[in-house]
Amino acid sequence: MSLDILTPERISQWIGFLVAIALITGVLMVGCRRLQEMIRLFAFQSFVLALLTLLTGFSAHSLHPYFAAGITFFGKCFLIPYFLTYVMNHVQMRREVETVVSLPTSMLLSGGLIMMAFYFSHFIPISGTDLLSKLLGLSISLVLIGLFMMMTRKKAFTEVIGLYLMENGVYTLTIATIFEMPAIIEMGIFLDLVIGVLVMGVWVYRIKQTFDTVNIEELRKLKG
Amino acid sequence: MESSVIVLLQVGFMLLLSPFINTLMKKMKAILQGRQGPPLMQGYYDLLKYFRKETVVSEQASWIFSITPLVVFSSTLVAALIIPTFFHVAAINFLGGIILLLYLLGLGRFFMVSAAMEPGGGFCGMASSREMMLSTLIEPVMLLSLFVFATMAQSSNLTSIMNWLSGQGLALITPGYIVAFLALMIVCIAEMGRVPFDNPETHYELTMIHEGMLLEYSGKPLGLMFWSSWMKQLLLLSLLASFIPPWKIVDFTSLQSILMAILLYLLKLLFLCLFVVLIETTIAKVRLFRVKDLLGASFVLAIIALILSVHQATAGGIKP
Repeated sequence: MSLDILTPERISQWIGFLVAIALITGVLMVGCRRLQEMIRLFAFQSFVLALLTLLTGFSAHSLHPYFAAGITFFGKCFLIPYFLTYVMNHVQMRREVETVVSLPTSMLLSGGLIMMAFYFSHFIPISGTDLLSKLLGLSISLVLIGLFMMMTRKKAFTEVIGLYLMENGVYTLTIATIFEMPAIIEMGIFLDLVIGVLVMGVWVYRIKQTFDTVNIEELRKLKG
Repeated sequence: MESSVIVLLQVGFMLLLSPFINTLMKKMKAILQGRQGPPLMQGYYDLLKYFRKETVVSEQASWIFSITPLVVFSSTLVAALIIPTFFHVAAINFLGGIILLLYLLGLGRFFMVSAAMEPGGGFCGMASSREMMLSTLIEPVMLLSLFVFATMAQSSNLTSIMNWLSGQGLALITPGYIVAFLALMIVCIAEMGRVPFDNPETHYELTMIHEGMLLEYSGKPLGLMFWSSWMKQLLLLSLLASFIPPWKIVDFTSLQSILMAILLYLLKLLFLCLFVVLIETTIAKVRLFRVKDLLGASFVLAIIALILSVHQATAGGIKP
């Protein structure tokens, strides 16, 4: 395929764009007010990551990344968001995000986290090429943002989304470092994710059943 | 010779076309909403009307109230000369830095706010406190997003930034650049006082910001204040337009190249006007207390842009 838009320099440029879009969606996920929007943003970010995988697969001339991209596309763009929406509707909680830190402040803080991540990604010796170091920065910042989200949100449900944001970060790291992740491992990880979301959905539901709330602060009270 | 022509062109353009651009935006919005809208010359009629009317000044007002229109008008005009409009060269390019641009606008704003509090009207005071709140949020974001371009071009002078931009061509469109442009766009719309932040068309006491400060003005000073706010709008639009590709280094010896540059600039301006109007017709005004969320988001965008562009530069992506 000798398309003009797919020369190595162009691919690097496209990857840069996708990294920027993924970063922005990460920050928007921290900043958005509604759970439904958050789930949609997660699906969109996974779509961006799937595209990233496709591009790296193209530049590495191997078949495995295509497979990983397909799995990511179907799983994280459709299956997991669908299930999360289902759980959200089933639990019947308030649809707004409740936070410990206010939303603008948490957006600013996540900007700081991104800065830190990109700064420290320079010190990791594997960051040889430009492409690799960009993806590395993205993955560290997604992990940090996900962790931050898990720390500051009050609902058990948002913790699940934070965890999946972190997983997206780890996934980015795998596409940045190992171009040829065997398909069987990818399948295993994916199975883990799906089982994870099922278990956590049931878990959120049970919390709601037992405590009548999914607010974590309330969970300190003893119920007997 | 050539620089004096540029100065004349730019002064004339900024002074004479800014009412037109404002009316044009009003007209576009009216058409999009299915109304007829004002005639295209309405801005000039308004100005003529204001300049013919008598001036009434409150008894409580001091000299600040009466010099403010002059200060605002002249500072905006000087700011308008700093930024490049038609060509890659600004009219005043020996002192034109980003910081000067922002603080000229800041000077005008300072006087406007203090003058609004002079006559002692209740709404004026409220509007000025809101304006100050907005400006504390706008200024850092604007500075930061312009600094992204400045770090790429390694100069804070707008003319040299434009020179560098025109030299680079399309290879310049990096993620950092686009994100910075988005942040700049959000903040420019806020600074223009247009829809998601402030509605230029309402006169309800509780919603207006910019209009609220002009409540006590009448006659010629009011005309000057309106004129300078239209000029500021055109200035910010041209600032945005100068960061939209394609760029060309203008060859001042050939008439064709000069005409092409003018045409290109006008096209970009039209496009931006349409964009702003589209935002205005599709999005509702944000509540005042939510404005900080939006501006905070654009601040984070600017930070991301700065990181990405610095990262690109250190990784050897583009040469300054």
